[in-house]
Amino acid sequence: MAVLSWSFRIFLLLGSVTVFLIISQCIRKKQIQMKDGIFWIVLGFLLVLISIFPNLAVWASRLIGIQSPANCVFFLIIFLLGCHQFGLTIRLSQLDMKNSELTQNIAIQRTLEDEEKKQ
Amino acid sequence: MKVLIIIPAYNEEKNLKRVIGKLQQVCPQFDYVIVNDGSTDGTERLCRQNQYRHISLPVNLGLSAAVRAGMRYASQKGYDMALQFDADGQHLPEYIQPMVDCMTQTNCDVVIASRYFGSRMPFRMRTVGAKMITAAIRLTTGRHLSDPTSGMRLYSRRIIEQFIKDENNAPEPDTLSYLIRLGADIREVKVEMDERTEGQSYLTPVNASKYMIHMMMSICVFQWFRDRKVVL
Repeated sequence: MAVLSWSFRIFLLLGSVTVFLIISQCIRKKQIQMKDGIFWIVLGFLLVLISIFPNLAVWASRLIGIQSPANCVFFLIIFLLGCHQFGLTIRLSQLDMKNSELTQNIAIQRTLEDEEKKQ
Repeated sequence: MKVLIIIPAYNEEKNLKRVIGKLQQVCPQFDYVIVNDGSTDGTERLCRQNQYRHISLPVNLGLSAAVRAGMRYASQKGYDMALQFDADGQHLPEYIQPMVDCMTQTNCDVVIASRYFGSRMPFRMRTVGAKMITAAIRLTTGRHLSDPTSGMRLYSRRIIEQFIKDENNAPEPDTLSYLIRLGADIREVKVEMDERTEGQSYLTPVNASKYMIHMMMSICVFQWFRDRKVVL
């Protein structure tokens, strides 16, 4: 069974360090809320873990029946991103509905107030 | 019977005065409200100057939210019926009274102003989409609607309350199919319509395709999953 190559492990490590740096920067500048940063920190941590202990990927690939551990890592990343993307779709949709309702109610309230003033 | 005419307007400065003038002249017995959907032209100023009754959305939300805003207002003010009416002069106010009569007499839930009621829809580029929607609604609900894309519709109090409960209810054919499934009684009244006189249509090929994909998906797929335990 092939193990993760050194170059791929270094690549993963660099990638996750970059993620950490960018997210910490964003939180410091208040560009994102902390609850939204959690996903990226966990993802980065997972990748660090895999690059330090590549046997984790070997073990996981045997478990779900993927031949190459590298493919298992790709699968994990795609799966996590897919879940996150779906969560974002839900949040976006709800935000859209709330925004629409709020806007409508504010506008109606103003019209009703104007009508009261005229009377 | 208190009737509210809801006129969604997005950058309709050029048409609005003429349309409202004709409306006030032809049917002064009905109230109207303009929903200014975050227009960037002088629509707001025009409404204030002429003291038109209007609701001004602070940002642009799109047609369906604008109509829903009008319906919320109708609900709060205790109107019995709400009519969706275009601000571009395409709809003729002469037909509002016959539609209201139809609803009063039959106690139905929705009255659609149909250009093709009792006749066949002519086969042209612009009616292909409407024909497909008619077919989809017939296939999924068994009801034949001769002009499902007509934007002039009268809704009863029950439908108004139903409409504002869910942001998914757009004043579009897919909501009609949903309402049919909920057991709503939908009738049609034969009308004539005017072609657009000012401004340009949004019906570009790209927009029309997007609209069709949205409608077909909505009518044929999504409506099956929607909450049907609603009491009409």
